[in-house]
Amino acid sequence: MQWPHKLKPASLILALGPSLTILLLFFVAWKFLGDEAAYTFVGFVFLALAGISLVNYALIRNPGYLLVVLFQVSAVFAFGGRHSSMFFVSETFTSIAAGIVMLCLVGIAYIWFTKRLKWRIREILELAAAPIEDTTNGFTPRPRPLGKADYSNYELSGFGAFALRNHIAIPCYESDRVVFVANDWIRGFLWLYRLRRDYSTATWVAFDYDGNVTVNIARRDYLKYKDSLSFDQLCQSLGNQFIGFLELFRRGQGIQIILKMNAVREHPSS
Amino acid sequence: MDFKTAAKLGNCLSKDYAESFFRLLVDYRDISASEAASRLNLHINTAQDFLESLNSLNIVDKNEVYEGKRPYFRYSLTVKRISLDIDLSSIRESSSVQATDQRIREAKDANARFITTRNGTSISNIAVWTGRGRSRRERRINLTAAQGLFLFHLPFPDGDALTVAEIMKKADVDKELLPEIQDILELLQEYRVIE
Repeated sequence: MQWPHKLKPASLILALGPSLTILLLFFVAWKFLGDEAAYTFVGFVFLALAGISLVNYALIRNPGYLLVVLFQVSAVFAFGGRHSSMFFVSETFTSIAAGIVMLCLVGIAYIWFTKRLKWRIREILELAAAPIEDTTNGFTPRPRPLGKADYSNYELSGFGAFALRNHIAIPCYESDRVVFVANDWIRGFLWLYRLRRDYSTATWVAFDYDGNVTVNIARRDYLKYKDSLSFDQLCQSLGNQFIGFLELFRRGQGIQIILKMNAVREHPSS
Repeated sequence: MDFKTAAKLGNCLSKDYAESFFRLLVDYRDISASEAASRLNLHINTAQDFLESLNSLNIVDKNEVYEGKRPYFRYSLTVKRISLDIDLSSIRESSSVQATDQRIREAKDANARFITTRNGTSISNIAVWTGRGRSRRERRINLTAAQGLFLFHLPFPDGDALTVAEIMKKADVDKELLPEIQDILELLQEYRVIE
């Protein structure tokens, strides 16, 4: 069944921008500095990316990042080793690295299509908007108290780890509550690298230790919708979505959350 | 004593020369403004204004007398004790009280920014924009804990409006704190932040 998308189409510039920039820099280096410099540049880029992916794995604990690390390390020697003496070990080593790159590419394609490493904010916003037909706008930049939910602190922290591992939301543990901040990949990584720690202008759902649930939808996320959906209903729906996710997690049906998100059929690069 | 009368009396008593002036009024059977001014080394208009203020508060009596053909006033004290007594509850009663059964919610496109507390469970203050163009100003209103909780539970602009009593119940705000809730609601209605 076709999902009735209520968000404006995602811009792929953000997703493809870094890759295209690296490709452009490679061609510039190749044109003006020659093969050696261009392939050394590529080697260093993949090495740096492998380091970042390793940090991402340490922070998020999603095994998909390990495959990405393997791909990037292999790529250092497969591409860099071809024309750069710095990354050349032997012909055999370069060929083995190239073989690993090809195998990893298959794995990465699988991860990409199954959205294992996709930040899920668009799916969350789509799911929240699904039951809403009312278009009365009413945006206000303040959180909405939703009501009470039933959960224990232990379940909440377990759900936090699950949400982070699956890129649903970043849990922010505070003294009296856990705030689940839904971000796109850029803001998500900025948050994880501690370069941005203020969620006041982000979309979030907070569960306090007394069972109270509070929801906030950021203006920039609200503007992603094609129509001015009823803001009150949207906040309520988003909160209910998260309460539903938590309930599924408590029953050990975390996979259902992922299936629900996959049912939205968002573009893997969005 | 109503608040305005008390404020006027307070203003008279706060003058540097008030005590000396009252000493004269106690010692003299009656006194003119020029006599008092020369005695206390004040400008005659200052003494005149002070005595007129006391006369309007019924503390001194004013009699017109003639020196030759020139008329002037002599003032004599009419009371032996001044007490400043204000019933503060009368101030509340006199203000326009918001009915607790009135349905309210945040106004659409309200020119206001709600700033939440650090723990995000209440509103700590509201920034309201007033005026237009270059005269646009931001007014920041700091809220009490009860006001912050109440406004945190205020329905959204497109949400169902609730009565003040219902929001107070939802926010778990004590009924005794109703007057401070009503006060902030009056102010926010004035700025069209709620409807």
